[in-house]
Amino acid sequence: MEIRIAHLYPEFLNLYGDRGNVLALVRRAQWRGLAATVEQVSVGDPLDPGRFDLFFIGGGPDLEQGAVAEDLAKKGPALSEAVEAGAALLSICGGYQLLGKSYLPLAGPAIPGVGLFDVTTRAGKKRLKGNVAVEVPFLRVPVVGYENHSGQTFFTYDQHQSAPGPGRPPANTDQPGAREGQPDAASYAPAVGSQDDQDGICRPLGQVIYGFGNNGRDGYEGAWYRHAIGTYLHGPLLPKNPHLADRLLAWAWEHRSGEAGLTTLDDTLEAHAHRAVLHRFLPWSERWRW
Amino acid sequence: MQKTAVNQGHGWKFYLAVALGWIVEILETWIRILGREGELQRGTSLPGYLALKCYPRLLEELLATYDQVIVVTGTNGKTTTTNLLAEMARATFPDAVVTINREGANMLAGLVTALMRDRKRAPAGPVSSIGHEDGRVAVLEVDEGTLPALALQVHRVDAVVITNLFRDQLDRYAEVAILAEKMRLALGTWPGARLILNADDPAVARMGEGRKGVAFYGLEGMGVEVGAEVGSRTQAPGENLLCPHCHARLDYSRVWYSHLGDYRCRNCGFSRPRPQYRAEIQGSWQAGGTKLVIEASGQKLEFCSPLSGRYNAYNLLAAASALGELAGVDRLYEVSPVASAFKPREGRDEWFSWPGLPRRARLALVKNPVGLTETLQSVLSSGVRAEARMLVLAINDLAADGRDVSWLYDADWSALVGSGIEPVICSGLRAYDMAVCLKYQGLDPSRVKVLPSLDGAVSAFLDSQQLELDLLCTYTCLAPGRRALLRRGARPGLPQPEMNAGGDSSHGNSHCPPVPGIPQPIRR
Repeated sequence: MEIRIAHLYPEFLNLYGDRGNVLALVRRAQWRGLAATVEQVSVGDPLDPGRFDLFFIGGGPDLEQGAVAEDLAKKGPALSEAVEAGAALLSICGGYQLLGKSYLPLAGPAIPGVGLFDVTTRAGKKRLKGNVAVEVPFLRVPVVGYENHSGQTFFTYDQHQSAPGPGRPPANTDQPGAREGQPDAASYAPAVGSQDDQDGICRPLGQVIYGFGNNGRDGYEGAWYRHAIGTYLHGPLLPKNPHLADRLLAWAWEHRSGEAGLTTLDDTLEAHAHRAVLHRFLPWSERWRW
Repeated sequence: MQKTAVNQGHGWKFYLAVALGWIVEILETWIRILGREGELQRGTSLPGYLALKCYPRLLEELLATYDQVIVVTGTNGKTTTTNLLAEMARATFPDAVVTINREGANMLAGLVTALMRDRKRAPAGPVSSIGHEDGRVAVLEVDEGTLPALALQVHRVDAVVITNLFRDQLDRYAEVAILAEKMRLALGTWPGARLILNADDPAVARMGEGRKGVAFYGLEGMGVEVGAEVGSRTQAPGENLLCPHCHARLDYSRVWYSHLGDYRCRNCGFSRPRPQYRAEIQGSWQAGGTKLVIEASGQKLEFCSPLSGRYNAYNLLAAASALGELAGVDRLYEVSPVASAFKPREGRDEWFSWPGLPRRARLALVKNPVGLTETLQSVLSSGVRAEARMLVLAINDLAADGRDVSWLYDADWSALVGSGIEPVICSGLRAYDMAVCLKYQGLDPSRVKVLPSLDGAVSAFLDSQQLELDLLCTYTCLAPGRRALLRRGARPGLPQPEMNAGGDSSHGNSHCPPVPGIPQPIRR
């Protein structure tokens, strides 16, 4: 049994060390004795939703991103189908934007996206860049990385009202019409079982504790829907955040084998790198222990 | 070389600004001497920064006193190309004053600092009219991101050499396509400038479109990776694979490295222009020094360089092409010895040795994935055997290095992973990021050691049995690395006998063995 990873558009969306993320997934599977294969899926290639356990989409320059947007729209239904069936997905920066509902450029009409995440992105004039740390509800330790984007991403339901906090029900669920076509407030009930059980609501991935995040305003970063994650963090993300890498890998392994849980690895070096960043930018970050 | 310098009177503000710059520089020197750093530390751009604040037109007025202003820009190879071109110009015009911004301070303040210093050394006298070989020439390395700002300030530039455009410090320059467009607009403000462009780089070649006085250079012959599809589905860090015109995918018939090669767009017909200056690498560059045969205007000239690596072949070709444009192709004969004797500047493949000890160290700058890949390959394929060396990777993430270190993952580490080098030491502010990257690239963590301080890294080398230390540094690690070496007794350069030691031709190769069929250049 092997974990099958689909790397989408590797030759176009490879801007910020994205191959490091795929490498991290493969290595961490191998170190556990699990086989992992990576298949590259690019423009024009068919996408079989049932074939893969984990999808990865990186970020790219505007030019290259435009080249894949059209193709990704065609692959959208297959991707959504796979995610609904429990496959894991990680999308970063440009890939994250393309999987949202729409992208609004500075000039011209909005470009529709895949709609996997309930977010919409507006082109901004200022680049949001720098080191970033995010508290993620289903991880004990924050996630660290680097962001560099001009698009500002908002949850579609928080443009006019407050958003539900990451990983917990919205503060004010009795406002009607907050999310069209989505389940009503009753289904916001807290998840039973482990904390990372997703309840089918698209939520922010976490809360920014350092840096900008989705838009530099509402304090949220990324999006999280079932086993799919969209985020602006690169750096690359997974080698330095082994806890997040293992979460994705566990989801993928569960999708493949039905078994939950993975063996632990020696992450001393990763923990050092992680801690070095946290301590440099958040000197009071003593309270997070690996 | 034509004289175009204007003899103009300067206003009092000009003199005030220059005087201010000089005073700041003298103060800086005193502080350095008092701080006992003395010769170890180079000046900063502070004098130029303050003088420019005091008088914004300073740069334009300073440059107006030069007969030729040549700008060298691009992502990789600026410093080496600038220095090579300056040396060649000095050899060709012995009576001319050739100024460069040698410290690699390539933003506006750095340019002003260098030009003010030059004015102190060789004051701009009345421009003489005896022949045209005794003029004042400025060869300036300009940061590619600074070119638009320079275009606003300086209205006359005589020639622009562009080396290549790679992804570099994305947090500073944004994306290559955006940067290329900004550079193209900047070049538009100098319609009279001659362009010397790399034909093998699509984004650079495009800048020559619709302009007069464009000379292209490119590599030829000895196809590497013939028919390879660039960048896709291989480890190679392919970049900028889309046509700069129509954004379709470019077809490559030949690749030199990364996206430098012979390309063509099937959609709109955009293709590699035929270069006027063509170079062929003779023999294997893996062995160290590079031997190039440059062909221009039907002449073939042999150049030998102690610098290794394909990127240095490009640097040499760029400098030779620029000189050919400046002085005429016939005079290229005279500069072949310059290339052989060329010594790289600080931290550009610079060698150190310990007097009386059989040990040596090499200091090299790495700043982006393509450069790192090429430097690793060139470092690992020259010098002593892998078991007798120690590699230090010093990675900082300050503004001049690029704040984002994700580029480390875009380099090709397979050459290092496959070599037997042990230990590999990670240093700098991002030492642990480097170590994690190596772990995931497949290097056994037991081979990796983390020593955040460079002094510690050099001490570790001296305590070991290893013979060669290869120190690859990002920009802000260069000066501390150099200082750490000098403090621990290393001296710049290699002892003479060792330079000609057999089996290692990566340096000190000051003569070219003749190649059959190619006439040796004759000095006139």
